[in-house]
Amino acid sequence: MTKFVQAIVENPLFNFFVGVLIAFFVGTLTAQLARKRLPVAYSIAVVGFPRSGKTSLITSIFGELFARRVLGYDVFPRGESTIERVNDDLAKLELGESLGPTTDQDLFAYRADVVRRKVFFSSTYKVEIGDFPGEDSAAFAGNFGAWFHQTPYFKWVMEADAFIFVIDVANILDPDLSREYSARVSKAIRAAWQRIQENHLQGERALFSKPVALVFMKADLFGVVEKSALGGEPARPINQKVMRLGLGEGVPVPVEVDPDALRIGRAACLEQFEELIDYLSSQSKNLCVEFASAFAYQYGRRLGIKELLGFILPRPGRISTRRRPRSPNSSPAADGLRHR
Amino acid sequence: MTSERPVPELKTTRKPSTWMWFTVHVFYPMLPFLLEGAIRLVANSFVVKFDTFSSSSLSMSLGLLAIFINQSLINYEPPLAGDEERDSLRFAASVFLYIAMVSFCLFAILVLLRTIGEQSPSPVIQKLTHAFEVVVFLGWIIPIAAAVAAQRSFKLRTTL
Repeated sequence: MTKFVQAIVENPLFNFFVGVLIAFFVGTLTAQLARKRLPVAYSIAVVGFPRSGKTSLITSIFGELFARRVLGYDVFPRGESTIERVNDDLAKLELGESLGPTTDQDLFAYRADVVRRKVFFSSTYKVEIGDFPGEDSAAFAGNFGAWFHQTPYFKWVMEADAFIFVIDVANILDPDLSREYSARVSKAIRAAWQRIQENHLQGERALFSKPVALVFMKADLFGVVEKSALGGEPARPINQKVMRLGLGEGVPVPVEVDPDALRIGRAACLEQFEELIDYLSSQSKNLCVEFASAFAYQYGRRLGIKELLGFILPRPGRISTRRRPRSPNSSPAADGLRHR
Repeated sequence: MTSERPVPELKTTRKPSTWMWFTVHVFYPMLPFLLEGAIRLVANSFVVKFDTFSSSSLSMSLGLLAIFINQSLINYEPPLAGDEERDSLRFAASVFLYIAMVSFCLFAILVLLRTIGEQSPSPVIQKLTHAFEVVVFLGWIIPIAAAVAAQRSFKLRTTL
């Protein structure tokens, strides 16, 4: 028996096998330890015209993350600067103050560690959302020169793992601007997406599986209930709000969105942007259309933010090129509605 | 009088890629060790022995790999980096510097032990050499796993 054991121990193949096992164990342990200090980076690019509500959207997203309302994830804000910035901006939103336009001086990346629990090990991601002025998005969609490749915005977008295109509902509701705005925005988003395809560092193929969200911001402008369930002020005429938003002036206090008005407005927007939605759905297998607001609530939560987060946050399966099942006969617009 | 010539615009169609980063920072430093092992393997009629792969070459390769990654991290400028991001970057760079120091020390110890063993063979020296070889052969995975983690955390990419 002893001789048999000795023969096994002295067998080079056995030693090699044991060595591989130990190396695997050490490697797994190192990878787990390393991922705690160096989590996988997951950056989200927000593209939209100036004053379309990008900063409000990002703040609302982090507000939702801070409240840990996203099922299956644990969220830890990364760094003092993110905590301070988000809390300041959230306080402004709660008080009904506008965040004002982002300038080149206050470029900022919001960061949080998002832990997704699994059976044995958890996956930690370093979620980063860059807040850039809308002018950068406009330049990106236009004919930029070679100098633009060196800008932080370009670098950020070309490395992004998920994309949020923001459309301002306020401009759609304005009868004088609506047509021109939707044509201009559709063209700009198409151009931006083509630029991303051309320049993205992971290539077109990887880009196809990345999550893309088309977010209609300021969806509270479709209508809010006369007496807010949250105790807010009564609804005002839409046009009055349109005139006030984006100009650094006061904005409405949080109100409950009117479901009927939202349904009608949503259908109209989906129809108006059907071509763009069809285009994006042909370019990405992970497209989501969402209606969101930083000020309006639905069922006690900021409109559309939780749904957007559930879609845009990293999933281990999504980082690879796994396809999300989708009915071949459904139209993207219908998908958007169904998603809600 | 100076003649003014138009400066040609430097253009490259190549995009920085993750694979290229791994090739330059992980595969290239490991190449001497792999080549040496492959040549010995062929010379030994494809029989793998404990001395087919050289532990001293491996430790030197790992040291170079760690230095390469350390330099890559030091030179990396993340877009919109905050203080936390810079701290994290510095932390990762220091970890690789420590790995490099340990690897170079292991290389020196292994070469020294072998030289002493060749000049005055002793079972104690042999055992010591063997112990250090085992440490290197089992520990190679640590810098590689750390390299993968660093690449994914900072999206390190390069172009040739």
